[in-house]
Amino acid sequence: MANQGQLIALEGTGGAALVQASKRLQRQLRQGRKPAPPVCTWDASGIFHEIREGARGIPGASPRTLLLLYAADLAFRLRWQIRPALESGITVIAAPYLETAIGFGRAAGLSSSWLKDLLSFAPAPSGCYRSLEITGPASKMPKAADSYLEFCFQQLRNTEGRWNTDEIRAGFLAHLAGLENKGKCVTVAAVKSTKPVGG
Amino acid sequence: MTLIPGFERRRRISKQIASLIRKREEHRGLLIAFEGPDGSGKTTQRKLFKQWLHSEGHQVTTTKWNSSALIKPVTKARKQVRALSAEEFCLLHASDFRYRMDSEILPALWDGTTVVADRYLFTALARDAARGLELDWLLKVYSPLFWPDLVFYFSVTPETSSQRIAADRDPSYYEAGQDITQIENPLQSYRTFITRVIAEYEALAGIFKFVTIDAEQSVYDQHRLIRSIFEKVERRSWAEWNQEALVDWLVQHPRLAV
Repeated sequence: MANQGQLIALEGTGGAALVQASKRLQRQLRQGRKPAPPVCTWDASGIFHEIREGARGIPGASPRTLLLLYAADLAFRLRWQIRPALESGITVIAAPYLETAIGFGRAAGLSSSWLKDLLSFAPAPSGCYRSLEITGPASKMPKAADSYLEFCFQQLRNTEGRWNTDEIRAGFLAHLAGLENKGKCVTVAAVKSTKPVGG
Repeated sequence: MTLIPGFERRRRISKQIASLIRKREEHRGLLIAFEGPDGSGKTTQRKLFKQWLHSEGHQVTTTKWNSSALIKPVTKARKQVRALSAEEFCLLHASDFRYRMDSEILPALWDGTTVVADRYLFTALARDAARGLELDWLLKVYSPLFWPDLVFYFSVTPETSSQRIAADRDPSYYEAGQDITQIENPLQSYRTFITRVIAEYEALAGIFKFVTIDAEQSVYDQHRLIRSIFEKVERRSWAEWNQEALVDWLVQHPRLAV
């Protein structure tokens, strides 16, 4: 039987920052001549893509609904990508994984106990990293297709509700910063060794 | 200090919301759920009940299981290609339910419309538990729970349910529970699966105090019974039973002037 691979979480707002961080982390985690660890991204199930395509004119979903959808997509990723890789002894990078969902939910006012219970079917990662957020004027407007967070923001803008997406983004980043302060995750740019943290 | 703006906002205004909920109690609509296995005749009874409510001057709307414009197409496509695990099946239906709670059911109740639900969250609890998922986790997925004023449970035996379904059509792959029974024949699989679903329903009926209707009786007798029970129904206090779910909804709602 092959050794279990390691599950590495990479969290962040998504888009180019997360892609760059994934590549950097792949290089750092690569061992010898072995192929770089695969990256398991959001929406592998296509749920969000299909909703985006079909959602024109339909009111958006609330944070709780968006998190249930995230959990559905995560269950798919675990079944088809993450667990098979781990069982074959392959290290896999899940970008994003649990803390992206938890950070979004907390920033939108949901309780951490509900979020943890909802996602309790997913195994804890061996290590947790976060991407370095790109600051300064954005070169282009983010789109819903760019990341889970941008998808959520687009949905929230289409609800009757009063959601301040800038405030939620700030709360989300504060959540990740809080994890980093507690030593539960490390910014990828700051990583010097390949030893995972947290878990 | 970590900044969690949404959480802070909720804490700050939840007292105001509680007062708003108490004020709304008298003017709100009633939520009546129709539950039971396939082939129990609940849709027939739901239609008769809705017509009767209309004739009595009630403003009524219906909500059906897995029917949201946003999520239903996604679930339907995956069911067609038999691509769902038990967890994915559960979570997509839970998403659909939550979306309908936020956008259909709660707004209607708040505005004074009676909502008749053709299947409610107990459908998910019975089916998903029959698929082997833990009831405790399912209750958390559907939290915060919103309790209907009345739940009618249409009770039939697995044999009756199977016979009624077989008279009409072959059950679909997930309806027959073929994803977990692994039985190739849909009707055989249905018989096995619905036995489990009914066992779960019977347990839920006891825990959650459903009003059980013997669905082997005539359509007319069942309808008369439903009417008489409804006429005596006591509202379930929102402040006592549903505050958490209402706060969850109202905290971001423009109807709330805070």
